[in-house]
Amino acid sequence: MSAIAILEKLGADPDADVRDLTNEEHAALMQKIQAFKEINAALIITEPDDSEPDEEDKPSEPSDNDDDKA
Amino acid sequence: MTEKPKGQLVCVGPGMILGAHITERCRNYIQRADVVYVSCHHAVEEWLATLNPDTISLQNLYAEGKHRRETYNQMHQTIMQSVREGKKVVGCFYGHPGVFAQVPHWVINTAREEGYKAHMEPGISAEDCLYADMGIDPGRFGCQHFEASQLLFYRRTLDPSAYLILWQIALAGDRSIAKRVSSVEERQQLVDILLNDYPADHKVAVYECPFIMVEKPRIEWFPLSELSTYELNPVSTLVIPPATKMQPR
Repeated sequence: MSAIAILEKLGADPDADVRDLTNEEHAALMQKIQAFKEINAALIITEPDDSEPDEEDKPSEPSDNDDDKA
Repeated sequence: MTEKPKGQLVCVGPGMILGAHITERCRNYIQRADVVYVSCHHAVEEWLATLNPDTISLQNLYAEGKHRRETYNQMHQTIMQSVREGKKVVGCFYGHPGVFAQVPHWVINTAREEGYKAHMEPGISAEDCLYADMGIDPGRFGCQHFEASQLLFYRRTLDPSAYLILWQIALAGDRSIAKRVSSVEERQQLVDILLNDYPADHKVAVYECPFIMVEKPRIEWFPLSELSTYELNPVSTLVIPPATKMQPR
């Protein structure tokens, strides 16, 4: 099983445990995690004073049909 | 009769933790897409590529010193180009695609304006994980959320009897839109504003959600006065618990 497949299993299966991995799997996993730590991923963010798309960000005006919404 | 354009777009979120949070519906959209554009942690992007080999990372559009709006424009153009080519396109964005991510909203609006089918599917966001990991119920005292720099750039009304969650705290006060972390001076301006409503020794927490299950959430408590020099990174969130009791009317 690849390191990514192991990570997927650990995420999806509540009974999956790192301690159940073989030595080879464990080593591959640790190597992969270390590689990921060295990549400084940029994540898409929201700008505090963004003007694009300006008008479209405004909440829509409540309509008569919205009166009974929580 | 004018034929409806063939391309379509769905923006989805795989959640925060690889393999743990993705919905069945989101997985199906990814697996059935003609092309999947992703902006997530590298680990998550590598995993998503196992679900659909036609997965393309948008990470290479970021660059240190590059205006982030230029990056967003390029993301928008890249995704729209595939939609206009008539493809079934999925945009997959870290956590929830519509929370603290403006490109998904923007590109969906554009696609709809041009007559394409486009919508967003919710995902598990950092906010959802924060409530679970820190044991906070936002309904107990109330909870205000702000993008951290907005407290510096605009007049916002704080309620110190509620939780205050400040997002993108590492970038607080940065007007360059090119940095990944703001300066001590910029962050100190935020501290000075918060000191109007909170004591200097008020305990606040930095929270970071892990992106793989083998790691733990980062939850570190420290006095508000130390915020300007505290180690933060782009995924850090600041949690400020209530400092006063709710006042009866």
